[in-house]
Amino acid sequence: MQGNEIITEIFQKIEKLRKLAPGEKEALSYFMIQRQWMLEYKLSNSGYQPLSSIDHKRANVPYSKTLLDWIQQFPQESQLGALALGLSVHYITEKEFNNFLGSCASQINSINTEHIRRREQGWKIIPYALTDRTDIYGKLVHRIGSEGTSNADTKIPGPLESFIIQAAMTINHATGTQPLPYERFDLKPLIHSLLNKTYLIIEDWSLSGRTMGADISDFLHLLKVIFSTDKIRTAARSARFHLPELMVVLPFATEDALKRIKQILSQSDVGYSLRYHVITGFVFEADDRLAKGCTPDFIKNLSLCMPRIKWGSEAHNACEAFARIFTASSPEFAHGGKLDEEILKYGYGKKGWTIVGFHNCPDNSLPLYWKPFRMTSNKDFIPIFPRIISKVSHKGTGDEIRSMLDDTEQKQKILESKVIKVIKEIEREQG
Amino acid sequence: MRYSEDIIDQILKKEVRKIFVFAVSYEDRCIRLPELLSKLNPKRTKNRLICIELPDRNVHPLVSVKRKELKAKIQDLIEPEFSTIDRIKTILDTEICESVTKNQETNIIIDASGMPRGLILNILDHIGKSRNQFNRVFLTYSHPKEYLPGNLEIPSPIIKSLYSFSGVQRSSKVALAIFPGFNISETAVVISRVVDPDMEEQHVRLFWFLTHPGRHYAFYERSLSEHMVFFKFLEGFRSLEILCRMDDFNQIGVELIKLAKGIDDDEAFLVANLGPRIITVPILLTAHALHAKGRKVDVLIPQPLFYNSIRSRGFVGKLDVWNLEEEFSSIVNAL
Repeated sequence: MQGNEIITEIFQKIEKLRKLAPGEKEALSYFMIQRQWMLEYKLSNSGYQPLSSIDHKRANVPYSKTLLDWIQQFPQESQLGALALGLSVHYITEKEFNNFLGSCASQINSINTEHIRRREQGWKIIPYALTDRTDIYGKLVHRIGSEGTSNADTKIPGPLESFIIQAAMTINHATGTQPLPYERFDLKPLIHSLLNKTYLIIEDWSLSGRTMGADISDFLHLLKVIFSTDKIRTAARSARFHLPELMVVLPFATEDALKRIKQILSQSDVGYSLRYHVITGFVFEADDRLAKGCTPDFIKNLSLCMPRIKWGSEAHNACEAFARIFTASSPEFAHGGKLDEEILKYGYGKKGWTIVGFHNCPDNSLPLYWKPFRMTSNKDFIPIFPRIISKVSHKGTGDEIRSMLDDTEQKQKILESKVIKVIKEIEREQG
Repeated sequence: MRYSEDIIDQILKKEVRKIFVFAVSYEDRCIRLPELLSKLNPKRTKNRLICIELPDRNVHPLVSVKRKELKAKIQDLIEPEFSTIDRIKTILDTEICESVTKNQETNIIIDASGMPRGLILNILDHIGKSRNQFNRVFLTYSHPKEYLPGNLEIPSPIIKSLYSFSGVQRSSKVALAIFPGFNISETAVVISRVVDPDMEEQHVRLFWFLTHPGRHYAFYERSLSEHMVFFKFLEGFRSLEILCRMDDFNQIGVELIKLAKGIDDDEAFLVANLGPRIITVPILLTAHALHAKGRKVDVLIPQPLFYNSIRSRGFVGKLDVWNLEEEFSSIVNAL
């Protein structure tokens, strides 16, 4: 399959391309064919996983064919923009993900070596996935040789959400707010699990920093509740325990997301000077997306190749057309409804990313890539990269847990004496 | 392990002799190290600042003008001694000899930012052969802020090699590892020089080492899409593609060694760098390590016939720094 024929067919279908002079058409089509070959090549080596078991007919078939079918769902006047956006996708294959992850793992190992160099005996890195749907968690814990990967008696920790919920319940139990009759809510294992540890939080990616930021805030809130008083911190330090550190790991992120996450960490008030590292395999530049003042790289190159066409405007037109078809088909979601029109055009955070991962499409990427819906004609709009919902809430572990921890703040005195007692017990046991 | 440029300050504070070697090119990033040195104000008695002037031939007039402009800036910043490519080896030999006779440590800091790939190969190979226990060698590199559109260099049909290219070129079995860049003409030259139409039973295997993600993801994608024509139509030659991070010398070394171990002993192993110039360094270190073990290996670098555009503008972030002794040891450990 050469794919050239389909690009030629697309050129015949789109009026603005039909009108180009033969020489212009040739130069532009070769430029597009190269890009389409590349996307096809990536997808043939690393298929889009959400499709593999449900539908073999979309992105995983030759991309040119998918592109043609997808473009034809747009009104004629928006098809040129849809074509530009269909070719602007940054498709991250599994091999690329692994390479990003390898970069993170070597940075983590360097930090770990630094702990060893500082002779911090018993220092451990505890890796937590942000949610139980983080696909690369298993790969990372193996690469860094985390506890639980080489010893069958120990388990790898799992999702951060569960840890925070369990910790909040334990604290409530300890302060008598909500006494629970189970050993698993004992304060000692919780404090033990926090001292001399670096908490590593991993998520597949972060494009806006909202999800990661919310969960980090919850974790920092937990640290604040436990280590907020001088007496607790002094007890830990005099027993030669280090207070917890934090490592945030993102195989890839955007500049915006990184800024937001770093801001949350730098402004954190956990009662002590928190040491933290934000580790990324790669950071996408802030302007490689479709938004005001920003243009995806491929569209910039199209403009260099064929400046007579306003590629940026065409791309925005396609997003607007998509939002129009959606709202016309689903009146309950129109203005003032559940979904903001700008989100329908440019995705959550209204950022307009063109990034797609091999195992999912981020919801901050353009919805025309991932949002399926039923059109009024009773036909389905079939996106190229239908998304799997990975997290319902972007508000961290939720209001319930936060209020549970807030309740505890009222009973700080009770918690303080119990935590200090536990620290002393652990110190005695460790000699 | 890659260090940040803060280490340069630490090196300068050491009471040892330091020789900084850099080149004036037509890309702004060649002044990043001189700018840093001008701020740190190194003492002349302990340090030498040597700027290599590249021959002003086979270049577009705009390239020539830009180079003159940057030379003047470097002159203003640190007043270095200027040298030619031919003279630099003699200067380095003299310094290296003196470090032995005076029994003193000498640090050699090579800035690759303004050096073409062939010059990096030449200088580092020379230092590698003549250095001694008194010398520490560091490498610095500055990334451009943006690449400019325009014509790419026209490659010469002549290829520079580390050892004796002609000795391995006509091998009946060849494993060719290519680090592709943007310029498919360079790739075409390398493949056509290795594949010998006169040999009836030559067995050539291609291995693509892609720089991923590169400084910008778009660069990786550009290199990949430019080379799709090879991937699609030379499919018979394509064995596999390997992704390498351009700043991780150890990863590049380990991947090359893994490949070298997987091919036959009598198969010539050729590594061609057509990608970022900095990759020449881990390739060179790995080739030296393999060569010392008796492996039939060579490094191929294409030569430009004509520089016809100013490739980049500005520079970004701090300089990256590597200690080449550390890098070489970690590559040797992977053998």
